Amino acid sequence: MPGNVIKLRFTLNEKQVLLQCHPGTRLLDILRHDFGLKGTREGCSQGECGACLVLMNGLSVNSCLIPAFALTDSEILTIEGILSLKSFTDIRKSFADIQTYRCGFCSSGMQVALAELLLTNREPNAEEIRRALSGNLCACGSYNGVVEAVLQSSSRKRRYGRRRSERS
Amino acid sequence: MQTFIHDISPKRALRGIVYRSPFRKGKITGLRVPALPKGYSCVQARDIPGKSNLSCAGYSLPILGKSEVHYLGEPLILFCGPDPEVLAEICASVELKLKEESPVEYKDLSGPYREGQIINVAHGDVDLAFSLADQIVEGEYRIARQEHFYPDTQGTVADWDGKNLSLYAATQDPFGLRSAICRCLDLAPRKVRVVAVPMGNSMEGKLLSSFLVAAQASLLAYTAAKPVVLIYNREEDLLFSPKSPEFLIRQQTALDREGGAMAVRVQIFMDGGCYPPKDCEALRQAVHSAWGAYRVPNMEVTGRTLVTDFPPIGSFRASGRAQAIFAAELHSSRLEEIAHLDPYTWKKENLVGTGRKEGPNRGLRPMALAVLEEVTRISDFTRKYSAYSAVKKRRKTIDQSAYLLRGIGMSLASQDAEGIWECLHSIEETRNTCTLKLVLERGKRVRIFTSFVDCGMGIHALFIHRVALLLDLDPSKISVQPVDTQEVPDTGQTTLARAVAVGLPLLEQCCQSLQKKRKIATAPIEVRRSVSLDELRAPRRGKDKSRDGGAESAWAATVVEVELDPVSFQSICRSVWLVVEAGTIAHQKTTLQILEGETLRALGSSQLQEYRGTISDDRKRCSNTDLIPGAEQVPEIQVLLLETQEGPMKGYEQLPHLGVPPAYAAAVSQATGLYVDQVPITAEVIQQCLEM
Repeated sequence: MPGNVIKLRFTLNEKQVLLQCHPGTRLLDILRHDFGLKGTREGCSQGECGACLVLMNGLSVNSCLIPAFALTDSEILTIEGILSLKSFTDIRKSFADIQTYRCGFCSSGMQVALAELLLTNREPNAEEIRRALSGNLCACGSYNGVVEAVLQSSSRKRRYGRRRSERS
Repeated sequence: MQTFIHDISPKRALRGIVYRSPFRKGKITGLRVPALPKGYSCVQARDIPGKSNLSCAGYSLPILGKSEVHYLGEPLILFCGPDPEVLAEICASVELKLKEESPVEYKDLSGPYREGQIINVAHGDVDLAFSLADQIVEGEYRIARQEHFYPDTQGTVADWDGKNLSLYAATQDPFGLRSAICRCLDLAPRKVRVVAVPMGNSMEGKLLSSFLVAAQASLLAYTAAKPVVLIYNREEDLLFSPKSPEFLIRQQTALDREGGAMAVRVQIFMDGGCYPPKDCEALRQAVHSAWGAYRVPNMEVTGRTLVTDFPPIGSFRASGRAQAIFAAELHSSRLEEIAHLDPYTWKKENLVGTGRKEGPNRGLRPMALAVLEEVTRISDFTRKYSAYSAVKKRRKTIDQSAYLLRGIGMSLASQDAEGIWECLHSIEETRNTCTLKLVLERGKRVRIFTSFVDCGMGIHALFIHRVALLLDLDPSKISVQPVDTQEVPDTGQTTLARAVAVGLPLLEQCCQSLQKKRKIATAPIEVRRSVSLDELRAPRRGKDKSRDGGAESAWAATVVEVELDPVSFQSICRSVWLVVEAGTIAHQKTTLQILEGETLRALGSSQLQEYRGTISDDRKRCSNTDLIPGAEQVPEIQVLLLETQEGPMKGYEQLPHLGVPPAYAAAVSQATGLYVDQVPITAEVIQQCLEM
């Protein structure tokens, strides 16, 4: 019904988008069904497992809890947008390495949570990484592997940075 | 990024929905389906063209209820159509008339209950030993139902083109699923193709349940002659999918004057749900593990399956064995107390292999002792146990304590190959061989063809690293073919134990054959190896002494240290130490990561999960994070692998599930001074124990 439909304008992965939908439609459904962004996954559907995490105005939110009407003029960055960021290449490689012994369902949510952390803190310690992942549940229990991967990628970056500064 | 079942949505696909009984039990007297709009279809039990029951690994349950309802949420009608909202309206307007009956539960075993399978095992003269006993120690242990909580809910995409059926399913047994669907739709196997899509860590929850959802999707696609997507929502999945069974175990031990066990009498009651399996592997495992790793001259074990009106039970990691070992280990901690021995000393003195009559377990002691000694050393168990015991003795009551309560517990368990072979057999009598194929392609690339799916267990990583090692290739050159019943051979249903015990030896044989063929032929070279059920069972019949029960058992000793708040009784696990003797290890890093992950899941089972079987309770559970520990709740986990260069590779993924719950319960018992005799152990459970 026309009365139940709103027009939305927001930024999705750095592109302006327009959409007509019911105001109560979940952001998760908009991303998956209207834009085909399947990297954002539906886990518990209750905002507890973090599989559907996206960045909204730079902060991580569970997209299964965000209604469409809250999207007006917001900036949404999904895992697809985050993976295209150059600053995230190292983490992507580290995740690919630990992928072999985990199912990978929670990976995108975890990477969004880590992106939020790494965009503000380039060299987090283990405790900070754990805190950043506190909203993500992993059925394979791979948290320690993820923390290690992020720490390794940070130290790689540090070493690379040091070498570059020594050369210059 | 991987494509899970939720990500598959073919064009023109219809959506499916299941109408479920809102009642727990009764006889159906009327079921009226509303007039369906154009483009919508429905399927009832009478419309099933083939067999209306699904079977898998000894379990059997109807695809749709026909004349009776046995559990809340039992599927009765299937609908499909283009609009999910219309489907929901159709479901809401179904009229079900039912002559309600009171459901059968069991809370205290006082009955009335209906008995299913009964297994008895006995040796020695138990009655005589009990009549001569100086002391009899009794205990009752409860292990709650548990939900798998796989991250992706059950789902299948089915497409019937009028001649052939294609299924995209999240399943651990693609060939078993194909057989089940063939029976259900009365189709020849060549007409059904199953593509196993990647899935979340399923904890064996994608066996029977995956068959059910796939059969429902297939029936809808067959009726509508269009692709159908049937995905359960989280609530539906959590409330109505098969669970791990609840166990109640009574232990009675007759002790002599020195506190030595003269006889053990164990009664095992397993809630078999509404459709209990006729030959239940979980019950058999529980009966055979009833007294854990310890020797006793006289023993009597009775296992019973009770028929109740809870949802059907299903496979779960270490189902049956984990519950039996939990009871045995906790009961042994009472015996340790009576004997005034610490757990390490008591276990060491009572291990199988130290007495006269050990039967098939003879020879197990050296490895069991090795893991026990190693875990004691790395956890500093003896010192910590004495220190916490001293604190406990000084304290009058726990609520007077101004400090956090601390405790440490230990357990010993083994995972053997028992059941792996039997399970293979019970799937289907005609599927009695496992086959694996290896293809060497140009550019020294190798492709592995197997029906084992990965589902977060690291199976494919293990296979790739093993082939890389044996053929001296870079792991990046080796890949596993996506699982499609038209492309890969039947290697049987997927569990890590089966992959290690059955898959890896086949893989090694393929590699050896490939090495020989490489010298005389050019790529592509294909090798295929099979093993039959009889060949797999041969070592167990004693034909090959090198592979007796002892050689196949993997041992683990676990120590858990906990800290409890004396006011809220919230427990925090500080550390877990796990020492595993797992034979030859295919790939160290993967093995360690798998064991660490399983340890965390086992800790979650000990602390967090319980399925209660009622909508009001479980709706709350749906909105609760209490199912898997989060990143901040991860304790320090130290896993040590004792590798033996000789002998077969062994399954090990069950070991944390066998060892962590009893060690955790023993640690909580020491911290609180209470006999905690159930899992999961929550603050409420501790409060209840305190009030008793």
